[in-house]
Amino acid sequence: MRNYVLKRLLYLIPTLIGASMLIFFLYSLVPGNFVDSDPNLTTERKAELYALYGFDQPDIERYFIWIGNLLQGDLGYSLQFQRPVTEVLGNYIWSSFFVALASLILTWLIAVIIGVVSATKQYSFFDSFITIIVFAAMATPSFFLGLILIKFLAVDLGWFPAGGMITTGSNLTGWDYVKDVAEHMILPVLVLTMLGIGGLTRYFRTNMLEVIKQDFVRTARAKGLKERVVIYKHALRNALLPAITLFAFELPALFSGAIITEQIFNWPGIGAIYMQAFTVRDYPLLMGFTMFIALLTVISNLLADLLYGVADPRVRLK
Amino acid sequence: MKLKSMTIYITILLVSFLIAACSDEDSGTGNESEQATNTETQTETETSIVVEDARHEATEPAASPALAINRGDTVVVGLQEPGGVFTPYFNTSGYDGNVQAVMFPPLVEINEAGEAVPGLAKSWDISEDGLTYTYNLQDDLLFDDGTPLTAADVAFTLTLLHDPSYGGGTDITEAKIVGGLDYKNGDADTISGINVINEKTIEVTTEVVNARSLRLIGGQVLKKDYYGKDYQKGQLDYLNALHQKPVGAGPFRFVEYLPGQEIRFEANEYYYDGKPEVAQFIYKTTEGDSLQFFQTGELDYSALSANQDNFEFLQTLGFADINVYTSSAYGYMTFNHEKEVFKDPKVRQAFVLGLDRQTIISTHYQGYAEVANIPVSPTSWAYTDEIGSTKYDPEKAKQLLEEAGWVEGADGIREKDGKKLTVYYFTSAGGLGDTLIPIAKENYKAIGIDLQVEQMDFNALLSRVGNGDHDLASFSTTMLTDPYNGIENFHSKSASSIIKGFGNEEIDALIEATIATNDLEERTNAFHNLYKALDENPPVILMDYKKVLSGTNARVDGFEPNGYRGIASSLKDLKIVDVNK
Repeated sequence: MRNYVLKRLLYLIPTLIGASMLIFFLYSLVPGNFVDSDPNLTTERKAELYALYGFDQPDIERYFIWIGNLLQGDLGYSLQFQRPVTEVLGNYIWSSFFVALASLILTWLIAVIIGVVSATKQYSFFDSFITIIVFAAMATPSFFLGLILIKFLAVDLGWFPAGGMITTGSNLTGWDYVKDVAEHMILPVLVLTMLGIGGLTRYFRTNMLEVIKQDFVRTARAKGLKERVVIYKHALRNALLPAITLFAFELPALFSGAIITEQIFNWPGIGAIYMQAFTVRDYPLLMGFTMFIALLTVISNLLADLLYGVADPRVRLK
Repeated sequence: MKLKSMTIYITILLVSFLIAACSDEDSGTGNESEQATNTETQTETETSIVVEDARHEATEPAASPALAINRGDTVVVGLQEPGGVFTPYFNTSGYDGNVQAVMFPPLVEINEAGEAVPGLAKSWDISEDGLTYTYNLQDDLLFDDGTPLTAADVAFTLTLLHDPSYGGGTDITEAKIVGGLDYKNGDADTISGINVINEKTIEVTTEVVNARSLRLIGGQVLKKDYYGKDYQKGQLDYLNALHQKPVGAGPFRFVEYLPGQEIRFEANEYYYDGKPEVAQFIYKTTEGDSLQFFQTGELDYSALSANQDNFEFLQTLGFADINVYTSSAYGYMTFNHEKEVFKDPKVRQAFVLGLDRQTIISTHYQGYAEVANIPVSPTSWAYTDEIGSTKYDPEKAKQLLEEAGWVEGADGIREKDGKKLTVYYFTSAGGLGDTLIPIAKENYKAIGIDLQVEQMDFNALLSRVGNGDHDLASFSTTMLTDPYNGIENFHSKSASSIIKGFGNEEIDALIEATIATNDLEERTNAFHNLYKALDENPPVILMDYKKVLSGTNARVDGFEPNGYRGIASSLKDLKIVDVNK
């Protein structure tokens, strides 16, 4: 087992190098950079700034400079914010994280419940009805869903704030602050949950259906166990096993922000900043953040594999 | 079982409906351009209806949302996310400039006609020869921390801008202050042309007469013993630590910056023109559309894209005071003057005359823009409607092309020396381009020009135009605080990356004449002479002067936006009024 972990950790290195090359060269091949985005610059000043930001160096050289800094934990300097990339990410990433976390918990909770119920009552009215609802929610584009919710729940009914993270100009502290943020979180979390719930529900439903048909469930029923115990103790546990992999994959999503949803709800998250960085070509910020997400992705892959082994003896390595 | 097949049927129906809805969206751009051509004929009958610049009072102030009224004397305005550099002269993002404008008034302000008016300087004198500027500061000027603002602070600011390691966007050397270059490039310790007479008076001597120097030298003021505490020549890195802790002398004082959310200011009791009535001012960060925030009352003031829909939307709200005003910028389509085909002014004239700008602008902006005739906005003192023209004259265009030697080929496209008249037009995706492309293609085809179009994002556009890949490309200027900014790129020695290779000695001389005097009347004449010459020898196809639309919640009085300073100069006069009266 230890050898396996070690081997997997070693595999991470070439994967990350490959990812870094992809990220760097994709961005450096796109026409236009931060300096180009200012039409008022004179050619002279442009050359000065090119030299200052290192755009005049050959791409290969810039790649190694970037990688060298990365290894020292330096993600670079955001051109647009004129601050270190790590600081900019720190400013925005946590607000994205909280929304993502809240919607992750909600999505999984609801998906498990719906999945189990619609599997045990396959083809019932509830099953069909819920299927339509989750498909509809999943198929609606996030901007549309977001705008509809803003229109009805925020503008017309005035139940929730239309956007932002806190009431503008408020100086709340402690519990009041938490309450204020929570109130602003409801709509974005609702949108993200509605979008995420569809796929997961189907996933749990299928898993559950498969497990229920297996011999050990029949055995459990034959033993005279209560149906509830059979479903929730014997069947559900087994149905959840493959979900461990899925859950680990959610790790990068927790930090990557929701670009469209954040834009619509004016949430001060990393997704909106990422998009803005794109329009002004703030490459250090884009590359640093993409690399960070790449790192999280490979780590979560590794975690998924390891956890799966822990949970399911059948796939454990001898 | 029956129910099952029923639900499956409904599901399929629903899903296919949604799929259809999505695919409709994907083809949206295609539809738009079709629509544009369809409306073409329609608008020709109702050409050149331009919405007047005006202020429309709210019809029903009492409809103002409770959220806004309960906020009391805190005024909230929307702004795009700034970069967080709040020291004047050092920002890279224009939105940082908006934040700075709240705290840092300049010595010389600018009014809604683009004329210089007193700011921190109550008056100024320009010597007979036009070379020496004496600024007299307002009485009892204080920074927002209560310490006095003196001529020494002004001198420090000007010195800092001459620092060899200064990397910001302000080029002070254009003012040619005596001794400035010795400081920037040599080893001088001070700038000899800057002379502090007393606490309230500073005299600056320049080498050449330049009409722009008055405002260039009389800009925003940095506090010497704050921003210059650790100053050593050639060392400006220490300033990075102060970028988010600004100390200014404006109507409001900086309180807090919450990234991605808001920037808070409070009324400054030390402001020379009196403490503003509004206790708190907030710039709230909004991405893109801020309509919903204005509607729910979260924003007291919001600028919207100027079109009839948004105007009507504001009207139906009832509580919005609506402002329509003209921007100081102008939109244009640049020629690539390095291409052989555009060397002949007749060809360029033909491109101007052969494009039905009126139809394009009216269709796209629904009256919220007018066709440009000269490279300066109607808001400026330099504007005249007697020069230049906005007319569409395909016959004249054909004739000019014939004269230039481009004759019609077999397929209707003109040729010269075996080369077809095919031009490549670059524009950014979305916006005016969507309307312009189909009309321009038809217009140009009718006079024998084959127009090929490529749409790309703005940075790619700038980059490719910088490389000279284009024949034609669309751009807009920034706000033009001086009419000179609108024409400086037409100088043959201009280092602009958008307009390269244009100009000759005659035009250069006319351009230089526009800043060679401080007399407004003489300058106006100089500009008019230049505009006449440019009309004969067009450097660009002038497109539009756009309108700006903004809404103010009726509970706030005093917002007077203009095309030069936006809302910055009216912030000090903000007042809260009772909407129920």
